[in-house]
Amino acid sequence: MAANPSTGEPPGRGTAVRRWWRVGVGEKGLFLAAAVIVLGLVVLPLCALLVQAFMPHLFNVPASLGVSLSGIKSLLADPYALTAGVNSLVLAAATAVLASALGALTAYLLQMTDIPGKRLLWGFVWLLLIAPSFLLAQGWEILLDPGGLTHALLGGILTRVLLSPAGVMVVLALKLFPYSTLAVASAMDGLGQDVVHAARLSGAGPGVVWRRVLLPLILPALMAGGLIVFAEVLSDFGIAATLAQTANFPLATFSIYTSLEQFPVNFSQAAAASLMLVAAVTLAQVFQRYMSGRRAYTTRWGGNRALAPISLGRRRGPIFAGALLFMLIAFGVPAGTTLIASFLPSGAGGFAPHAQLTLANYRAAFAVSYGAGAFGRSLEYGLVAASLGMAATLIISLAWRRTSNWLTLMLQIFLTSAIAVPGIVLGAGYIFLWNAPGFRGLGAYGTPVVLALAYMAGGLPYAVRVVSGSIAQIPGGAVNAARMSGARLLEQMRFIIVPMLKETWLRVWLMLFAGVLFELPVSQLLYPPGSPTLAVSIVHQFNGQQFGLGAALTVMSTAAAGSAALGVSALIQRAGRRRRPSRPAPASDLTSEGVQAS
Amino acid sequence: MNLVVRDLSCQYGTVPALRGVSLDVRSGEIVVLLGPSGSGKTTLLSLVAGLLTPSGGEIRVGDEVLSRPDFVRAPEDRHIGFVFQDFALWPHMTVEQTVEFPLKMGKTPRAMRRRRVEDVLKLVHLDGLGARYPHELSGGQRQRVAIARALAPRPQLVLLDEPMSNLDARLREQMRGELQDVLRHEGVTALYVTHDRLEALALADRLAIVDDGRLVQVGTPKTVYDAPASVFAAGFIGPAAMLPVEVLGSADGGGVRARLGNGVPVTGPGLPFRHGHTRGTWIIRPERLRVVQPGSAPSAEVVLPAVVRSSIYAGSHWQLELGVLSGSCAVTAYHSDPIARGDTVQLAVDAARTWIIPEEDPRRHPFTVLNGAAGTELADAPA
Repeated sequence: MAANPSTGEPPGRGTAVRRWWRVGVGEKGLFLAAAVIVLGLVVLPLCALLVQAFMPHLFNVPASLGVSLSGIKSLLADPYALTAGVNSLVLAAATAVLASALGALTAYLLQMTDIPGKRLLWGFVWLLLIAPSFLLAQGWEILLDPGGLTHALLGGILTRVLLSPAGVMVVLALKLFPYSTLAVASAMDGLGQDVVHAARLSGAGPGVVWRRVLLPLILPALMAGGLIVFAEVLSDFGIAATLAQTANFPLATFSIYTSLEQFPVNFSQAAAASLMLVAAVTLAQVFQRYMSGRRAYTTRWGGNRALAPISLGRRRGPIFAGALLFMLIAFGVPAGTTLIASFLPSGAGGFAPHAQLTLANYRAAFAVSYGAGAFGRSLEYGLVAASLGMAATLIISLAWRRTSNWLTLMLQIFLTSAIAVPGIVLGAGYIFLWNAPGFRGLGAYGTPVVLALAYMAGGLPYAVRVVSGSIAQIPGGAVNAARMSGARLLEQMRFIIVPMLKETWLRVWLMLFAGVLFELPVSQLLYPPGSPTLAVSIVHQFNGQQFGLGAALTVMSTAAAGSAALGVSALIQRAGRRRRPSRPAPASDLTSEGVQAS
Repeated sequence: MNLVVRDLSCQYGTVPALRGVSLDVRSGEIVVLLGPSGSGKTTLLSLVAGLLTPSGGEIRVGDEVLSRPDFVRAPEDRHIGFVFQDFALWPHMTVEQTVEFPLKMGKTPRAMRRRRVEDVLKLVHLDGLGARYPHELSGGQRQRVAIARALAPRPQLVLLDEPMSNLDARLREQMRGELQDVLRHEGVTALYVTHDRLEALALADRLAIVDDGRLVQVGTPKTVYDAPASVFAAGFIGPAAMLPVEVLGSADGGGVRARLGNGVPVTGPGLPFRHGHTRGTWIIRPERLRVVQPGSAPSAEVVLPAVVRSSIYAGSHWQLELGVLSGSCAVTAYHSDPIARGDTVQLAVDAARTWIIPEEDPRRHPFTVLNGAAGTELADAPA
């Protein structure tokens, strides 16, 4: 090949089109696209919201850059907002303690003992972890309805107990204890027999081994789990908007929602409240990471044999029964109640004893007076936001793997921190941004576009975290080999990175899809007028005492998410089968040198 | 297509990994970069591939500039084959798809692609295994796939980064010959990195010894083995006794005159003597040493009394570890029988088949290159 005599470059490679192609979608293009996505979807909306806490007239016409603490002052002077804030903090702390105790106990039983039915019990732990909080809360509400069976049997005692701050705490703890279970079980999993043997050979009895060796090793994980629960309670909107609301127990997330729904809206106060909430959640997460970073999961080291399970002896059966009963109360009761209520006439008084079973709720679900078509609409949102979210995730993860500079680092930190941002705050940020001068004129606010963008933004931090982790697992040689084979950036993505991570993509897509289907706070704030989403519609039916209809919608959405999960699992298995043919290479084909014998 | 590397340097942060390396690889030649871990050989390979950016210098393949201070061509535009140490096979592609991939990227028509894939798989003895995935192949087969992928698009240059390091000893021996055949068959220019001296000696048309980011010697395997340019090169290419000598001057008819610490005079071939050289190292390969009966050695040979420290059975011979010069230096010799530890024996050395290096610091010697652009070509080793 003759080279350009002045540059040594081969002819034809420097044409304008190729140059544009390289610059357009090359490293810089990829980096630019990632920066625009993160800035546009996450950074700008949150900044637009939080900056208003200090510059309340920034988005006025004409705009003013004047700094004022009026929003924070008005927040502190508003008894409802203040009460909600204090309630949230107290509730979060109390729930963290209760959930940590429950989590540690279940982790102990599942990880360190020979309790039977571990897979079943772990199944319940995972179901609780993925179930949206508002769905569980509504299951409890159906059970507590004054016209229902439990009311008839217990005379309203259960209703009085659960529809109280303590009841809200219990329901939250039952929903959130799996975070603690996972953290503690992970630490227990790393405990080795050698640690115990070393202590026993040093003269320690079983009690001392527990007190001086095992508990100190587990304690950081226990604290980390508790802090995750604390942050989750502060961020939760599902129970704040349902059970807590019914119990007249205002919480911070719901107070932000109501301050944005009232007229006239006190934007600066809503911004100040959001800022406080983000600060509290971030503080909890930072502390949790600090704890984790220091010791939490460092119980594992090489060559340490697994701890022998502690025998429960003759108590195995009763303890299993107790654990199963606990799981059935935590998940089975609200889920089962919802399922049964979906077949009972709406307005039958929740879980009624003698009502006729009917499919009327399912028929009505497609033509409800409020939110007709919500089911189909949410499916569409889920498909679009999950698919676009996947594409955005791919661009961001790849760009960050290949480019490292101060801006990348800043955006990474911001996106990682955005995991701590409650959905209600993100939704509020979108309201602020899309009503800001320059954006208002686009006419996008109040349309499905903004809601879909907010859905993408909500899922992006989690998705990027998962995908970045997976991309980091791809050996550098695999991509370099493609480059040395002549593959450019898009070809590396198309032929190497995407196919190698097929299973991760499918899982992340499912996570985003299910997240959109059950998303409540962003939906509640941003759904286009007259076109509520599924979660909004479900909550509306429950608030209107249409338990049967709400339950039917819940079952349908769960079935949709379940079907998608099954579909994705099938695709993953199919991909796995194609990559790993069922017929392994016969051993006789391979000589000791690894060459096929001819 | 010949590869030309001029004054190439590279730094990792403030740590220099390569310090002004120049190297010419002729078209169709196999040059092996040999050096210890961390010496800079893989860095040099990565710079030629474009996987790293140099901090200075120039790389050309034929007339085409791959890299210079104001211009760096992307790896995907270099048309160079690369065989990775861990093979870097894609788990989601079959053998056929893997080998076809670079041809696809090069927009080769489908029919031609198929033909070429078939040919290359046959060449590396993988015909019939095209439908297999990497996890269904043995280590040796994986390596063949990696070689086939690198060769499929008929690259102008192939780079091989320790491709045998993941194979067991027996397979390595077998693959050496096969790899050489394949590279010769394709007539491709190859730059091969290894730290295994046997692999280097077997494969190389020429060896390039790398140490601390510099090329310390470039030459045929025989030249480097018999006439090393430095004590480091002498020790790295194979076992050798290194006895300190006092350098006296040039010998009549070439060579170096020297004297051992015990006063025994030695005259043999070596690096050119220069004024100011007062000490040096006498390099003796084990096969140049013979255990002889007292008084039976020819007068032309140097005889050294030695004390046996150990006899190790090595299959075809016994390897003797001995102490010479009053036990101050260790030497290795091969013998047909074991000798008891502590016995004193006579070692005869044919000095004409040894090598004297008047200065032990390799950095004070110009390294050897082919075209004389830098340094001095060494004379061929003694017969």
